[in-house]
Amino acid sequence: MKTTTRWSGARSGAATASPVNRWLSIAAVGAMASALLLTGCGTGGEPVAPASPTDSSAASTPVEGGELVWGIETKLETVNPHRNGQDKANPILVNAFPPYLYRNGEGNFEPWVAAGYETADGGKTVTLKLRDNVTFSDGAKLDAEAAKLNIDKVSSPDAGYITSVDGGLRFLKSVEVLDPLTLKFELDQPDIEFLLFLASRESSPLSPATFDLPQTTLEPGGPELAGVGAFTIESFTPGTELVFKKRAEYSWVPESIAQGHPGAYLDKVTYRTLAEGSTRSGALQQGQVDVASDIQPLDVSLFKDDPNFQYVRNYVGGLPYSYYLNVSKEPFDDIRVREAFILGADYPAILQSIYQGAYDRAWAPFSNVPPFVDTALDGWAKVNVDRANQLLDEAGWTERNADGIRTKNGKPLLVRDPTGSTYIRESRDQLAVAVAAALKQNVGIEFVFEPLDSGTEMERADANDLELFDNSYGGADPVVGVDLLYYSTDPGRGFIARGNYQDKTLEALIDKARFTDDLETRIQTYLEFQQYVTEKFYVLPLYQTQDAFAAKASVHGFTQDTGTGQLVGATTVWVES
Amino acid sequence: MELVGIVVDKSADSRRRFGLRTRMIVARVAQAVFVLWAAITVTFLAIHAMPGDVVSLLLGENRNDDVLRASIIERWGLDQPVWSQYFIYLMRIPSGDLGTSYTLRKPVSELIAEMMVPTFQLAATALVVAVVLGFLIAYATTGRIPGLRPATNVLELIFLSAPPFWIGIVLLAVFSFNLGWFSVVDLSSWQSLVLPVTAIGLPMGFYMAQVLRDGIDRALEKPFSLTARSRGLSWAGVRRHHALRHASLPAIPLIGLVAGGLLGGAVITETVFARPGLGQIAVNAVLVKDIPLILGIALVSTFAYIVASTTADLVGVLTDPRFNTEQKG
Repeated sequence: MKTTTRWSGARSGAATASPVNRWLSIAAVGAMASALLLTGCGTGGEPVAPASPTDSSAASTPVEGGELVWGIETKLETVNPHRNGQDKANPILVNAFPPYLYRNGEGNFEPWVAAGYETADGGKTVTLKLRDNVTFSDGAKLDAEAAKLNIDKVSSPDAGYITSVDGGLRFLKSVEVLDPLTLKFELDQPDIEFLLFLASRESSPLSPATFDLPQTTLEPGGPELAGVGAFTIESFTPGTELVFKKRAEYSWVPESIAQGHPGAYLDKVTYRTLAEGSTRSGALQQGQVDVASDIQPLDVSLFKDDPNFQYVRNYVGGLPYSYYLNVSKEPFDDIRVREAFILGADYPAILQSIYQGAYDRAWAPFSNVPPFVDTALDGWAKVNVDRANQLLDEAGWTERNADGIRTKNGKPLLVRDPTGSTYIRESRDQLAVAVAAALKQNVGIEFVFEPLDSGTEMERADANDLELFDNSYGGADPVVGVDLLYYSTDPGRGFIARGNYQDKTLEALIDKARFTDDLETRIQTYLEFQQYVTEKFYVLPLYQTQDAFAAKASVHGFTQDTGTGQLVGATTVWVES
Repeated sequence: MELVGIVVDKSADSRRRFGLRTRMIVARVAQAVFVLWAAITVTFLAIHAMPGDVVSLLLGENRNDDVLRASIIERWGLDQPVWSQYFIYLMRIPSGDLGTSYTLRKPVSELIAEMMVPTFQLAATALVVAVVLGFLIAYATTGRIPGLRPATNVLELIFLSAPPFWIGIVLLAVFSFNLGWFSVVDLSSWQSLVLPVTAIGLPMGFYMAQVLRDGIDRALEKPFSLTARSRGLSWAGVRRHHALRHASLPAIPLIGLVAGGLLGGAVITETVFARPGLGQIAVNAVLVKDIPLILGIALVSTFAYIVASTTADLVGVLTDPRFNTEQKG
């Protein structure tokens, strides 16, 4: 089964495809090719198309050994895989802490560290079979007892080890060791999030001896942690640098990732935090780093048009960057105002002016990643200023104040978006300024983007003192983000469901797609879901979030996780000698 | 002039002097403790005045989970009233226990000890550069080289008015990304220090130079300079032996102030150059309301400030001949 995609740095003339074609071609290639090394190149700036196996030119033999320096934006807080809550840490920590399963781009789960799994009773019982040859980097064997110890640690708040239990463990009732290599999980009800947990690095097992470390060593993590990855941690400086070194014994990896070479090529990989985008770009240009993540829109051309470099971007799975409209209060309790907000500005034009094509418009409420995205929604809300104005007139926002903002009963048509400063990236503040200008001019809506510290932002949310919430939520599957952003009747699930939809029809769809392990049911339900939230104008999807990086042309073998859209660590990466 | 009327009293008993010194030192220490206490208290109050419930911030997605909430509250002692948390914190300081960082999960004292090394390297090197530069510029520009002074004035104006952030970015763009002389990535080599040290040291050096030059100018107007010249000493000699020494007196406490403020400069510089250090973790601590870490950093930076200014005072006392004598009433 073809599930991963590789690129090499060679600049072959691979045709770039539109995202839609891309997914069609994935399906086609998936059907016919099995373990072909696929290439696309960052030539066009379009999301890279793993369209055709044109890698013959670049198929110089992979080189064993060598070192690599990787400039990243994220300041890593901890490197304990269970404790770290940073989304961007996934493709880094997976080097040392891979999960039991791998959720691929078709929505299926493949074995990774585990040998396989079975579900019974509609998904209420999950049996996890372990491989016989997996060892931790301290030499201990990964058996069912060690696996159970890990599950116990991360699922019991009383242990004082975790501060957040993964949502996927919410319905876990019991864990039982059936035999030295088999583990049985009983759930209160079937839950796809549980399988996703087993496919996330939060589930990656640590050696039993690691849990005996002092809390102050175990929690921040570092060289002392023994995991089951292709690399081990050599050193870690919080917020600055994380160094991995190769572990020779590693061989437990899905063939779709391994491509015939299970272990790592590189002897050493250094992830160096360079929080400023221009610093990462400059460092890559000078060769101070070999790879730079999160290339800023303005810097894309530096690498895209230079044969010494490659530029690659992929859509990230989950939910794209969107505006969630708070329907629980004025003015968005009126569907006409919601529609007017969504039709009242030419969003594609605004996105183009801000990002210059470095980011693409998102139309569907789900990221443009198979198998759940509803591509029929492309172009569903085209700008229509006349209709927007008419809707606002009908809704009673007929007066105007001195600034030209519509008013009703003396109150201005105000839409405020309080947002945590730490989440402002990808020029979202500039985007909001452009949107505000357009809405004011076109339809007389006053849109205010308010950057706040996390404490204040939380207070505003608790007080429902907002009209709009902006967010992007990545992940291998939309199920987690959908719960968080739409399930407003249960705050334990809809932690950031600040649209306050309180909509039972919507939540029935969410439950139906979550509490099953049947892929076809999930696909159909999610199509319905996306139709529903767009018909109700609950959400305005804005742009596709993406994993964009640039690298020297001499670096090869980047492998994409087809579920999350992020890279699968540095295991498959090699450097020309 | 200043020395007129002062009689060096060789017979003054050293015991009396010793008593004075002890009193001065005791007063200094008491002052330092008070300042430390005040800094912690103000920081503590300020953090708790910030909006946002700490437990919810720590819990994130799980903030509605009662079991987790209880375990967090118990673990971090957040069930105590704020004043009690405050006293517990104060009581623990003498034993070196500054708590554990919420986000980085390490003991704060350990984190600070670890991060102080790169910050100290940066700050100390920058200070040396600033002082050397200050003296050199002041000395050179009070000479009679035509055009040097106005040229320096322009440079001074630029470096003193430009934000350090901007200076850092320009240095990076030119010397690292364009010329490729210094890498920002490799932290183990001394080269990674050059640009950040320049970014902090250069503006400070110009600042020092201004103060020193002012002192030299004034000293040169004094009669003793004329006397020295009339004895046949060269201009350079007067500047070196007399004026510079006079000008140093106001500069020494200034060095203390500058050294104390280096930590503040390190915050910005460490961010621009992506260096590890106290400044780097301070910024993050404030953003995520990591209370133990914020308090720990406040404590250490206050302490650094006190040490720097006290040292400067002491050096001032030791170098100023007027302090070594007593005025006879």
